[in-house]
Amino acid sequence: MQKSRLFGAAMRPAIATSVIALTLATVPGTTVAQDSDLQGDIRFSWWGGQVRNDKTDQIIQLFEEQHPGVSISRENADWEPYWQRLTIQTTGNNQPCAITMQTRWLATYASEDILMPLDDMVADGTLNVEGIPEAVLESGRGPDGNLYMIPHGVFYFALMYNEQMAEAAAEAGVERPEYPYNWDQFAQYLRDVLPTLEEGAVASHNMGIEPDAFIPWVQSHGEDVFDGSEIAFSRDTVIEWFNYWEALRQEGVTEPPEVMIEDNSALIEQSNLANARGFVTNRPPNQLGSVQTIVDTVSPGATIDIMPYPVGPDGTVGMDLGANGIAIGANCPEEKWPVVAEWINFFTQNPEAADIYESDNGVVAVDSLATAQAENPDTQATQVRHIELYQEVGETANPVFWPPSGYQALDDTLGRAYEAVAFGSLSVEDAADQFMSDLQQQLDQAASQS
Amino acid sequence: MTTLAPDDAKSTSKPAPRRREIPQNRSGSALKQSENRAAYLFLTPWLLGIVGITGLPMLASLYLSFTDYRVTAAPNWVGLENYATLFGGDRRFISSIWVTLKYVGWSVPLVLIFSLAIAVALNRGLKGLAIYRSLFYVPSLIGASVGIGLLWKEVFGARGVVNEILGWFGMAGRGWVNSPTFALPTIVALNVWTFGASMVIFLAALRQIPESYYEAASIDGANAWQRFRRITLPLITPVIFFNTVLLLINSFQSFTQAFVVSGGSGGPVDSTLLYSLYLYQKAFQQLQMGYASAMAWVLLLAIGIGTAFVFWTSKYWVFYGDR
Repeated sequence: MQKSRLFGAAMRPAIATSVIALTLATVPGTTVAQDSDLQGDIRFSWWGGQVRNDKTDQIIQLFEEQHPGVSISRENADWEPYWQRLTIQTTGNNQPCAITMQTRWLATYASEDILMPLDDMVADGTLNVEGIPEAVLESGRGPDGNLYMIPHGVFYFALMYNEQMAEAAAEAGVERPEYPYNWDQFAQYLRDVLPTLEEGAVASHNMGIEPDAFIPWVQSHGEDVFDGSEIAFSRDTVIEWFNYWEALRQEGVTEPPEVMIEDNSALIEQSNLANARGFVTNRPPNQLGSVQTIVDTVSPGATIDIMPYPVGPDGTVGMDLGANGIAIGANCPEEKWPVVAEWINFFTQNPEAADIYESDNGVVAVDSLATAQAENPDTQATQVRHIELYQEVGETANPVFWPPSGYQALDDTLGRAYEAVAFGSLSVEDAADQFMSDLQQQLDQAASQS
Repeated sequence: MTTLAPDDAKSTSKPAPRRREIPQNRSGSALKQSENRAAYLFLTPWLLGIVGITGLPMLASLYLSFTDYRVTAAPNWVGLENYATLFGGDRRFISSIWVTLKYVGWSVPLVLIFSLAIAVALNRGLKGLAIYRSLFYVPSLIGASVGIGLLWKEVFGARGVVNEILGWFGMAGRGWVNSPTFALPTIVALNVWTFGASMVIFLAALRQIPESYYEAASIDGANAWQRFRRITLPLITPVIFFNTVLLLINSFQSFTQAFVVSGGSGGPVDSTLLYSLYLYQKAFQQLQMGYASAMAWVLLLAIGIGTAFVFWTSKYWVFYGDR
């Protein structure tokens, strides 16, 4: 009897609510008071570490608060597994509705079977692209001309260095080169810094295996990386690249090849840069905040800063630029389109969301938001520096056109070829031949099916 | 020699015990059918598994091996092109075969020798045998995991524990897993460390050998080595054969350790590019599923040939006591 009374007491409000809801639902023109009529659940996938996961989760919570009828399932992964998982999902036509995409990978997935063309949704205003520079928006187009991605962050590549080591070198009489410095001046600076470092430390990570450093080298020497699905740079440029890093390695300016491989795949906390064993390395500048946070723990007192890649012999800037954005899976049911469109608009345009994200995955694409973020005293100093450097040198950048599987192929083949040089398995010339042959083979195979 | 006619036999032999005849009537047949149904019912999960999870994907993979399937577009039939490329123009394919053969060639004998040696040591009536057996078995449970691969990478890294210990003795260390010379031996060492499963099987076999054989040999003056060489080894050859086949098949398919230690690259300089790792790169990094399918079938064939070879040699060295 007691149980029955309790049950009745508990059920009364629920029954009353249901009756009211049903009544309201059947009365035309009446709506339940809430912030949004949007209903439905979607899946959203992104890559990144814990800091980005936390920020993204906060933004999703904010969105869900504003749209109580909407639920977003979180699907996050680290960088490499992210793309492998997306590949497997596309195989099973099970990709999420909202997919974080990058210009370097876009051509691999830019097909109407995998991603939805967004031109119509932009044209009718469903997707809001206000404030996104035209060039950045255009980077979301696939080789077929369709717009597949709405950019939310612009990424670029730069060098990270230890500010205290630079200051110590300056005190010892090693002048910092003024930008724009060329590759030879940069190498000489590293040579000069080396004697001022503690024993066992190196002036630079050996970037011979790093595509992010190789691209500025190629472009600053007046060549393109790709022409469609063909290699556009010359064999001589590759040979010079390998020779450049081999000279520095043999002089002890960079680490031995075994450490080069280890540092290349190391977590930030294990890296030479974080542990004051290295002066300069290549890391994406959007990681400056997370790198500094870890360095504060590993090497208290050390400050990490960023500087642009060197320019070519004639002053040509080789800096690459790309965009991260959100695409919609081609398998996303039509009834979910309004929700996913609203989510993309929120993520790319909402000032509160932008403040939470703090340009974590590239400088926020909407210019006014980027400026506001740089001027906001609450923004982390590292992220302000990230935005400022972009605003200083971004305009001179030369974005790479990436063919299908281009980034993966370049990363794979360049690393293997330079490893062979550094370990003495191949001559520089043979390694250059192997690199270009393997790279072209992978590009051909990818192009034959795109 | 005379033979008895059936009638004579009947008359001279004892009356045969009366056998209970199995009823062949309708109800017996129904019972049999019912038992068959029950058997198939119990077999259903396995049948579904072998057909749905193994058989059909294998057939699909066979078909895909003759196509240029790349995940992002429908497959096109290319005939034997993938197989021709494999054997005709893929330098890394040949390289991966050599790396795998080296890995198998070192791993299998070392695991066999190590696990047999530990099993013999444990079979001497030690106190707490069950504890030792469990302890030695643990690595084989976790050895193929990603976690242990990562641990191995740290232990044998340039700033790992191994170099730390070598430093105590004034010896210079190196990045073992990042050296083209030492990366593969490091992975072989990890595989040898997971000797527990083979050891348990050897231990079971050793315990089946009658003690009286050893007593008789001792009385005849045989020393420990002679007893091992003349009694133990011949009597456990069927188990050595069994372990060899299992290890051979597993070693050909090794993947996780090389993947984790090399960060998925098979480096440095392709020194850890095991066949399965290269297959994975082709399938999931370069998205060449058709090509990877062809590689998978070549691997299946190679494992089949390797296993058949071991079976063929077994008639020369495996001793079955009852034959």
